[in-house]
Amino acid sequence: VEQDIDEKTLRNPKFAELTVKRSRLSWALTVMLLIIYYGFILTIAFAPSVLATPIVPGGVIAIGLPIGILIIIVAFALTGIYVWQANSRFDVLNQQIIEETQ
Amino acid sequence: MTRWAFPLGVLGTWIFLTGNTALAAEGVSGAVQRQPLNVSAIVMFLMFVAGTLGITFWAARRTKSAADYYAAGGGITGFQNGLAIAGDFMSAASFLGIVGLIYSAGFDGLIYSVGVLAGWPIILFLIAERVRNLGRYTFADVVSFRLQQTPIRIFAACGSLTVVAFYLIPFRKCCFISILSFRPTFVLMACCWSSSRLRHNTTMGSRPDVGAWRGFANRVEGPR
Repeated sequence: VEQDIDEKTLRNPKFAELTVKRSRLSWALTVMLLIIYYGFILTIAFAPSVLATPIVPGGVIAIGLPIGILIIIVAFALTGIYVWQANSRFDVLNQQIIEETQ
Repeated sequence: MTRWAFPLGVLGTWIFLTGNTALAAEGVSGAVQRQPLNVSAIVMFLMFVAGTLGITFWAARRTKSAADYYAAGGGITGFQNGLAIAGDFMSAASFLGIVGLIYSAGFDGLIYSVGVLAGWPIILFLIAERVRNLGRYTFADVVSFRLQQTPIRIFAACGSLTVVAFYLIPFRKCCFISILSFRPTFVLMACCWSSSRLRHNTTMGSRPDVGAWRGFANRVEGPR
């Protein structure tokens, strides 16, 4: 019986849609975050003077500080996007697949 | 394998801690003045320890299964679970690591907190959903679902230990700084914390927090 359910689920076009959409979103968000993070780290490694530029000329706060905080906020935002999409789109699709299979 | 785990752990901790004090000893030179005994700090520390042990004891009596242990039997909301994870990480990264780093390196220490925030969403994007779908709690449980249990668990444990070694660097730094600034209570707290984290991670074979992420995405449903 379990084999039957597996077959049915795999043949369901909605299941294919779910997996494709979900992995596309996951990887897109991951790549986005990695580019931002490694961009930051590589800037620290190879061009630290860029981040050490003061926000206002002659000021004490470097531009790196708000950039670091911005990256933290972006990480929160990307998490929010994933949770929102998972709750609104993927869970609905998932529920539909479960209902159609039974 | 398991027979040697404990003695090796003790040896590792010993090297870790003695290496630490040796490092700190080099940093202290010149006349050293002994600070007066900080009774209020020690009392506060003992109160925290007693409180934590009390809560642990109370929770352990209510815990009957793996589901209870990792997700409180599915009886807590995603928001509560998120708060728990946030508490875990705030104690670890913010209060120990980042404080130490900013103390020693100024606002460059901010880099460390960025790394944490960049790493965790990736766990959510790539791993959390799979862990949740299988109804497992740790990464090692998930991989041993498909692969041969013993070798993959050993492999996962090695991976965890490697991560933990790097993970402990900020806390070592923190211990080091607190030794330098003569805060015995803080040293004790930092040492207790880092060794408990080490023990925690090695006995679990992997980060149990990964399982808790399921709650963060507002999806505490218990295993299927």
